[in-house]
Amino acid sequence: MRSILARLRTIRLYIKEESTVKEYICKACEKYKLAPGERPEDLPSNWKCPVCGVGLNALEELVVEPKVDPILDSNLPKDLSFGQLSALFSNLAKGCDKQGKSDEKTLFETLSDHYNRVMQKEPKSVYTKLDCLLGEELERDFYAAMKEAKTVADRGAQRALVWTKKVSYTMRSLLEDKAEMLAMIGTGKSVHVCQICGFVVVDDDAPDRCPVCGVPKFKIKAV
Amino acid sequence: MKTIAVRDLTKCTKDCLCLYVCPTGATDTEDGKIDTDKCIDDCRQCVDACPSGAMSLVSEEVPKIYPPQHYRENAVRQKMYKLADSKLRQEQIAKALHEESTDENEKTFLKGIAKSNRLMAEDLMREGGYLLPQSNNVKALLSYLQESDFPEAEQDTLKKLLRHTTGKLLGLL
Repeated sequence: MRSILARLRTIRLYIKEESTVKEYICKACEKYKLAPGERPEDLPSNWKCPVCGVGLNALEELVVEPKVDPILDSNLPKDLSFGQLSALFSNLAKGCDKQGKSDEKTLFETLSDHYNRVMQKEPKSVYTKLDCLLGEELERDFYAAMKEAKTVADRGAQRALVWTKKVSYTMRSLLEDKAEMLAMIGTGKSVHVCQICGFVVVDDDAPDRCPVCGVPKFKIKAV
Repeated sequence: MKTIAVRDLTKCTKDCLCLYVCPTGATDTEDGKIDTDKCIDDCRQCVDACPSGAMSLVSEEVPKIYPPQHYRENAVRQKMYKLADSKLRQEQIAKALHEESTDENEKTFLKGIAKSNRLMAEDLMREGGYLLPQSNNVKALLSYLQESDFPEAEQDTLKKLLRHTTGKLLGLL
């Protein structure tokens, strides 16, 4: 296993090196290429292209178009709300953090904070509104989204929908039992939130593994 | 283009094998962060040695390492965005209730509710097509925001990020 990996690495390094060697092509015919490593300055001044007979002047560096990861959707969502942009960017900040890219993390956080400030505030903040929104999600929106995701066999979307739906049920139950939860917090129990999926539990200690997404305890933090 | 090590301090069990095997001492720093100047491209000695899986290799530049992002149907994305919006509204409500409340227990409870909603919204947006910071999707979005009437004060951040996503740090082409 290790030797296969070592070989793969060698191959990758080889490809890397090869791609940095400049190649030259005759721009007059666009057919004749110099051998890899061969440079125009090494050729005699009276050199002529063996294909079209044009001289050195027509030799130019071959520019290979870089491979681009295609933009998924040419219709860039121009209707994203400020709130959505805020969540999108705070998540990308985490993505940078995981890769040890702290400068980019800070920049994405700055953008997220900006959209957080300007996002639309709810006109009326009452508990019943939370129940109402959760009800609409659980009775309608999750079903519709899951149906769509299943139709196109989108596993990533299905995964996110399964987790958020489970957490939504948990949240609805927490809100229903609010009085009991507040009393528990009063006796010294903590509110633990899984930092990966958002699962919430009021208890002395966090569970060993998140019951929704399965991450170990250290990813579940008390607020 | 350089592929270098990063250390996840939450997984690190201080066995220090990375210090034993690192040829340049890049893993031996006061703050636990790898010295990227000293770290050797694609060396991975520390990654193979670490018994806790705390070391990973990441690329400073992208194209050869990260595959293109998976295609996501627009219809799926719209449904995901809608749910994210609902979660963000609940976050706002929980935050407002938190502001109004004078009960410490209730404040703690609402803080948890707000945080959970933010995390769910983030997950839904991420799976709605914005998983990888280095992706072209993100780059296109940043360019679009720059062209739209984005506030002066934040333009600088946007410019820097675009430079990072296009330049050597986030390294997209």
